[in-house]
Amino acid sequence: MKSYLHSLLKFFLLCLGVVLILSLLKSGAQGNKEYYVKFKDLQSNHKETNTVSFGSSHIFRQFKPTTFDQTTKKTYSYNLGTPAADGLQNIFLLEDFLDNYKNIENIEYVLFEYIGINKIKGQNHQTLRNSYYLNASTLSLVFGNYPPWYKGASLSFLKAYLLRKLSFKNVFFNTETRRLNKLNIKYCLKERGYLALETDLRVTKNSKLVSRKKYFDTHEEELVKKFSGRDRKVSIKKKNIPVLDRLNKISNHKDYNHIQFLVVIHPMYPMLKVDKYKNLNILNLSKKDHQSILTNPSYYFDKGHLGKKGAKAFSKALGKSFNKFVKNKRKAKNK
Amino acid sequence: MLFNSFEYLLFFPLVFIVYWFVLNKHLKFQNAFLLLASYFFYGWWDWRFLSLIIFSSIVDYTIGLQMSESDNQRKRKLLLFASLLVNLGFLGVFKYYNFFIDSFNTLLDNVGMQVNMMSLNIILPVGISFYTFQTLSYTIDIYRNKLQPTKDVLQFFTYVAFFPQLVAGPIERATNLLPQFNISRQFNYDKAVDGTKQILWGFFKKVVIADSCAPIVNDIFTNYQELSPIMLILGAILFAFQIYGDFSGYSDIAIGTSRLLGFNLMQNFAFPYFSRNMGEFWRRWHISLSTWFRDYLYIPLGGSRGTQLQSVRNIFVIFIVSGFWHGANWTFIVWGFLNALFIIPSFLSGSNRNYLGVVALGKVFPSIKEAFQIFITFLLTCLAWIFFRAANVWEAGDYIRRIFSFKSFAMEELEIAGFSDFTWFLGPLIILLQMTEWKNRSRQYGLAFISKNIIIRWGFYILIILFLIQYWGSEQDFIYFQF
Repeated sequence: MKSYLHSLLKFFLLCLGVVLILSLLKSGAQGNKEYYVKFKDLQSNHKETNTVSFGSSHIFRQFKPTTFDQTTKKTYSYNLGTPAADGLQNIFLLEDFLDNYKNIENIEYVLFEYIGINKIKGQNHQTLRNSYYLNASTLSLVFGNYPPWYKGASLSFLKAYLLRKLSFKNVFFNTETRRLNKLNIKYCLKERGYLALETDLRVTKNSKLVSRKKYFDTHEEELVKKFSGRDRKVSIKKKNIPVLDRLNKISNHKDYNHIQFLVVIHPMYPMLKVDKYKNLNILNLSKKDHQSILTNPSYYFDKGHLGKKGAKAFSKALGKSFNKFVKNKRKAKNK
Repeated sequence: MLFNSFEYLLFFPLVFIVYWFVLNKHLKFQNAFLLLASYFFYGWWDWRFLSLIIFSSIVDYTIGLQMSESDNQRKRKLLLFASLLVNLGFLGVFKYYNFFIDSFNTLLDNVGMQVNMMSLNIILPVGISFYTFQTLSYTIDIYRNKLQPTKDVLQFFTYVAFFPQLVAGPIERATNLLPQFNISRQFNYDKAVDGTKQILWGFFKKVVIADSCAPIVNDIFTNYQELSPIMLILGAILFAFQIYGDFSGYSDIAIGTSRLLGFNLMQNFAFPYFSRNMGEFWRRWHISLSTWFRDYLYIPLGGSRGTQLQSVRNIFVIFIVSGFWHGANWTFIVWGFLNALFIIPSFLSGSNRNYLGVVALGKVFPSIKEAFQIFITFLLTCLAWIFFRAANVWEAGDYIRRIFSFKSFAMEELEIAGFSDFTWFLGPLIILLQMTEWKNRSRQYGLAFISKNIIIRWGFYILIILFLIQYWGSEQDFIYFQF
């Protein structure tokens, strides 16, 4: 028995060594190719940027910088959202951005989408992306500050941490896995990181390709019902705690005093209990007065995202909310 | 609980430690602990269905004892009938009731009668077909006086619920597994290393091969009407590797896990894709089920002892029943029928038992004839798999028809089939799988021997681990769980 366990331990340590060496080769952008390309574009071509946004596809496809800037009249924004990136990865991308962006002193606002940490199970399309997190530094980040068992998180949460943490996947395979994503990058650079694709794509439902028009003809009511009014599912998850905790810490860091970190709650998501995070500023678009965005079927691109028209409406609403925040902030300062 | 889940990665080491370090001196405690662990393993999926396993165990334990105590043949027959009724009754209700009702409704509908018999809204208990057959073998063997029933209730219950093979086999015979619960178990280094390697190989087949094939196969079979013949052929081939990786991977993990606990389970897959004809394929694929049907259905029906016509009938019966065992759908029945059809020519020509040994034993490569035979057998298998995978018989027929159509390939199809940059690695991975298994084809499992050189050996194991880390995450259910 002893010799078996001894051999097993030796083998395990050897494996760990190899994995650690490989994980050291990881790129600074958490292996997120789309983010990496956008970041380069931002750094070289948009030096006047003072606002950046982080988030999942809801930001990637729905935050239109030009519309937002027209509404706020005081921002020059760039969309750093990437599809299928959940809360934890966005935290890591944000940290990456804060560490590496050359013109960080120009940045005044960071818009950070509130989104949970996705479960691995049943989310094949996100599997690659979900594996970025696992390296030694993120492991210490998560466990150093937020032991999941202590916070009462589920076993799947612990699993997500453990199994993702030591990943070296992005050394060999980055997110540029689908041909579509290559197209995404090409198109999104035209509009400061915002992806405006509308008519030529087909949406998938249960792996079946159907035309977008056909899909909406049959699912219009379902969509509106799903995301608006009483039928919206409330999903406030414990899983978001580390993300918001971490964002809270970043926002309190002395190096970033000149930046306002704003949590964006998308209309498709329910209210988040944020009483605990007094330092975090929330642009809450899930409140009733923003629900019109969700009740207009022509705003949808697919069953979970808004299209061109919807993105415009969302960015405008976000801009207004932003203006309100700035106004309140100024009032508070004057007092 | 899935073998490829994080929960299992916590569960098994814990079981291993308690089993060997705390309870190693007490056989009864070890058995009791295994039983608890097995119930926990099963209950993790749905604890309510534990009652089925417990009830089935009680019934067969009691019937086994009663049967051995009686010399009255009529009473023994009645007891056997009771065991069959209970076990097959559960299977009938949970697995086949809705199928029969739906088929009956469709039949009546087709002749113009509207009788809507209610189908049941029930879920299929995981592994019911496996443990049902396992307990049935116990009572049948006692009835045939091939086995003495155990009086130790704990041993019997653990035999029925033994977690490594509870939900997807191998379907162990009581004659092999049950006595092992009665022998004091000593930790054996070689056996443990072997078990660990087999588990590793099982994970590779499941996580790397099967789970990578799954999304492409799903996309191809869902969108087959938009695809050209080349993509449809690819879909069928990838499904062949998916189901092999999935099921034989599960068996490898089950057998390896059992070895780590000091048990020997039967070999369930013996490199079936290197078979030279369909007869050989069926001696190498899902061996525990094939031999179960051989012993408890084919031979009682007369086997190959009667006239040629009777023998052919018997072959069709066992293959169709075997197909039906896999699932309550006409696709499985047609799959079984096709396999019987493929095996008949070699049976009639007397060549079905020609290839009992290992192909090209002692050689690096097969001969041209052998390679051709392997290729043809694989193609026939893939053809049958189309029925196994398709949603219904009509769809399977349409899929095959389209394979023989003249639609030219378009690059857009790669997107429809869910191809990514990642997908291109699948080809080399399947080649790696086949090469490793070819090297080990005379052994018990694919990773049994790599090299005497420790650097090459450990290097290969680390490569496997790296692939596992790379591919782990999507946790596809095992296909055979649904059976």
